[in-house]
Amino acid sequence: MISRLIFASFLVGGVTVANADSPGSGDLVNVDARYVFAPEGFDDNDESVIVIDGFLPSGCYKLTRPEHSIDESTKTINVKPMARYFDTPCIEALIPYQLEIKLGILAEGMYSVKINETATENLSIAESTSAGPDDFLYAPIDGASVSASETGVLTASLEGRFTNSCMIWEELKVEDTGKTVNVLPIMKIEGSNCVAGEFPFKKTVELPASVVAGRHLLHVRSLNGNAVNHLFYKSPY
Amino acid sequence: MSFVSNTLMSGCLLALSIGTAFADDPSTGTLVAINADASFVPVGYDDNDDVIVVLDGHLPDSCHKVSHTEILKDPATNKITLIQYARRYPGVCLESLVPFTSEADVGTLPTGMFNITSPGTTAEKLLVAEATSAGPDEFLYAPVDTAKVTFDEVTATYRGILEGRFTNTCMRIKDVVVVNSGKSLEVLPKMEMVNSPTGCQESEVPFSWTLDLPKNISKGRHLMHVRSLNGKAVNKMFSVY
Repeated sequence: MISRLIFASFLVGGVTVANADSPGSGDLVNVDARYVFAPEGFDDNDESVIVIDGFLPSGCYKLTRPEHSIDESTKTINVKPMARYFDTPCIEALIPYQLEIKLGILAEGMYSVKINETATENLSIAESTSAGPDDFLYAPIDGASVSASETGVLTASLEGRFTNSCMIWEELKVEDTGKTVNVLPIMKIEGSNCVAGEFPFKKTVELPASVVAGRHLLHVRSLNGNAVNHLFYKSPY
Repeated sequence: MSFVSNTLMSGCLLALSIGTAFADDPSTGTLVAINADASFVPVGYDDNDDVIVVLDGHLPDSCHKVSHTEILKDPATNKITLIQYARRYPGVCLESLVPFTSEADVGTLPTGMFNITSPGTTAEKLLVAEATSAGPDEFLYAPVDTAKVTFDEVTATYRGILEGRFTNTCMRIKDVVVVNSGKSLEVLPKMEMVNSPTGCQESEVPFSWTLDLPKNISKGRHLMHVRSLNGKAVNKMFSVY
């Protein structure tokens, strides 16, 4: 099913009536995924997530809550992206979608991520090495985006809010793990006469030249334990 | 629970210090219910929409990590209660508030007026209307992937930037409507198919659209709720200072 979407040509834009062998109007149907991103670096005390990127078959479909289950005995994560089908005139063009699947706390081990029964990626969960919430003190990140210069250099922009005047940046670690680029925004506390408040910040970092052309996930860790996930595309040109 | 409540209800940020947290479960932490500061309920849901409510708030310190949101529906009273959970870990942590935002997927609801409550927040009303279209949505929306808000210091204007991918060269943004409903701004990016002398080509075409947000947005936290062609909205919280 996944390969069908990869090789399917886009339909000519226009509005038409769905064909007769479609499911009933209002039915929940399983939809395909195109890419699955399983970030590296999760520990057994993290709320793990995976990100799915795909296309709905046409404008007759409306994305809804995905189904997922975790089999700890076989270390398998099963995910089914779901959509509601409407048997009405609609636009016949693929419709992009993205889903973040929150898996919760997982035990240490290597998990097979299956989308619609097909194995796609492996998700590694390590034993936590820190007694606290995280290995580092991360900055509180609210949002992230990626832009490309005319020469193709990719830059990630991070936004967030410090809650104390003594919070400052220590280091931005960037790791290209293939499909996913991990960003660890590490902060520190420095100074005296610290004042509580809301101090918005923006920070940019150049992404490694090793990032290959194609679809990628920017996965930015944050102080609240939830990462900010942003999908981006690197042009081959 | 009382510690969390007292901390958040005080409404002020704690002085920064390094402290040791509680003697909790060292492996996965202890699941605790926390307060949110506010809930954001977008306007314009129909009975064929998946309703999303956004919770915005602060964890009491860095020993807490955001976990899931429990959704309790009472069909008899049309009351929906959202309980935000966090995991509390032992060890050294920063005693400073930590911002968080959570999206609660309430699912589809029948037509009617609902009360949305969540500990720490003011109750909100949610109106679910009967869908007027037999299709997925009333309008043909653009396929928006992400949204962000920037502030132009020269013109003192907040701007929304929508990014997405058309999948056909004949797709165009027709009109972007912004509805200011107070705490939330609903953005409706309407799309159209246009004729082309060279014909329509199937292709992935990235787009970006910038719009000025209303001048009269009040100070504080707001939600920009952007409808998208796939039926899911893109939700972006932002602060007005």
